[in-house]
Amino acid sequence: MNEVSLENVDLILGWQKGELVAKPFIAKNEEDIPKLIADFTCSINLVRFLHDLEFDGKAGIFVKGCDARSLEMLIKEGKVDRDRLHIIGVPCRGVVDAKKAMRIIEMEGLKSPISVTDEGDFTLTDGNKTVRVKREELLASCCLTCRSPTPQIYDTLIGEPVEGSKDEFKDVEEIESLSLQERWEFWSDTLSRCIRCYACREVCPMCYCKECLVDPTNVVVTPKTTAYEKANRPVWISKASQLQENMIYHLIRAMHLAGRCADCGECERACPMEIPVRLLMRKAEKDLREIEARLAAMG
Amino acid sequence: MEFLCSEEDIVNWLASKLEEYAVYIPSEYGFERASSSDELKLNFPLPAISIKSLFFPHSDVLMRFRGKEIVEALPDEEKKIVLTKACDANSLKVLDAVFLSEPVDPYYERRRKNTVIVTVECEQMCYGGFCKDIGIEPEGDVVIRRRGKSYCVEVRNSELLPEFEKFEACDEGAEETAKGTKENLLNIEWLEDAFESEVWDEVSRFCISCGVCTYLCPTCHCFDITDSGRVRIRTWDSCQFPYFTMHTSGYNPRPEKKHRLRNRIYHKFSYFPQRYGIVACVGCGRCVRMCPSRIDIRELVLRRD
Repeated sequence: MNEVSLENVDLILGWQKGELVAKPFIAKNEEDIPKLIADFTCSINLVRFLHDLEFDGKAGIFVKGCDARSLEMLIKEGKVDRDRLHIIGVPCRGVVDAKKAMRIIEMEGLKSPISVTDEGDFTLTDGNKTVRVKREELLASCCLTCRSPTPQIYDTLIGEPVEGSKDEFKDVEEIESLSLQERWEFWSDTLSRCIRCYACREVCPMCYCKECLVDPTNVVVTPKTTAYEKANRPVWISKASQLQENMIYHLIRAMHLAGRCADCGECERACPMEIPVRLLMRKAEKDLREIEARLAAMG
Repeated sequence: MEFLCSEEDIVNWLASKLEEYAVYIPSEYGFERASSSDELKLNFPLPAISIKSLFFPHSDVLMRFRGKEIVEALPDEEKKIVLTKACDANSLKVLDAVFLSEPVDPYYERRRKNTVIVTVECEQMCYGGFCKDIGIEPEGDVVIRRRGKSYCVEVRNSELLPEFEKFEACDEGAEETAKGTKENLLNIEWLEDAFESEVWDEVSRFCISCGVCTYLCPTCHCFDITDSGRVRIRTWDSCQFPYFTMHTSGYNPRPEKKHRLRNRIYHKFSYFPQRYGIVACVGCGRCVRMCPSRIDIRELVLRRD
């Protein structure tokens, strides 16, 4: 990768080739640089790793359009120091959803190792059998409605800018058009699947609270914490994976992310139960946009 | 004894059990109870949530409080037939070792005791799976192997034999060659002196401390007990969560993710084999497929070229 170097940074947070999709990677030496990649397999948003990344001077970080949106928000919220970052922007034509790819692999009986190539549509092959997959069938769902695939903040931009698509919130409208009863059934069905692994929370760059309402302890326990405080710690939510508890978890998370969510799709990418977590955030975003438009019209 | 059956024969046998037994069949996200014979088939996916949820559910009521009275909430002894794949069937050996050794866990035992396991052998390993690489063979009361267009049904539970005697015996010669002698690729001896190794820093660097690997794992069985209103519940817990080992004093013996990831590997491949004589991993590959950070357990425990 010619455009990047370790000249002004201690390290670069980037991606390296992985099986099927890219893995996060930290380049620290010149010999690491050729290992860096930036392509349609780089689905992971690396911004989240800035929260516990240790470096003295400056760090380089690769961001796609959506990753950049989350980074921008973290800078605004004062969680990340812009001056200590060298942002390497990567215009993005969409990234592969590993779960969608694995479903095709299982269905078609492809054998590992499998290589995926982007030829407008995607090609999956194990050497013996080749399967062509339509672009939209393999892309992560957040890529299909991405308004800004080209990072809005960067120090270096790799490649030509990519035009965004128009997001009309069709997925949200589809749910909105259902009756109350149907919506209840839809959410009951999907949220009762939740196993409360908290992958959606852990993977989210915006979920950086030191303590979360679902944690077993809601008061930081130190040697000075009294027995009374420990015994009377607030328990906001049961650990049981029951519908009502799962609903509270997901709704509170959605409320806490309203107006902050970058729609990078990390929550859905991480969810092992394929819960459409983004829909909740997107509903909040759609509502906010509508309110904003109404307020603007009022002058 | 082995019998040659068609898929229809097997489905009919299962259908004949629907009244007496709760028949569970894997679907995309977990095991579901079949309500009619239409739902019975031998071609099913490896579900996201493993077989453990049938015997050790995510959330289980242990007891109820009624004023000063405490009522034990033991589950019903349901008669079950569970269709599954070899990995999940093998995971029961691990869970049984834990929950059925003294002191026996009555919640697990009640769900487990009247269970017939019907294992359908896979023709190919799942993406990310490594069952055959670590020598996982089908286990169960009934083991079904594809033989051309028919199936060879090996009835290991002698109580079920009379139900299959009407079928033609399966010739066993072909069976032996099918098994083959694949080399076991398990490579865990290095763990003996790797506790302080830097490898744990490296592999855990991008771990996000979520519960995906442990919750999806068919052999992971850690739990927490909490009171929730007027019930005491047991829920899955994960050694990858930072609070898992937090002491009341505020001291945490596994403060960093490298300690927690190391524990997961050592528990499965060192502590468990030392205590029970078997490795606590069945190679199902769920953790490999679903890790949000693409951490791959195969890189730690398999010999690779």
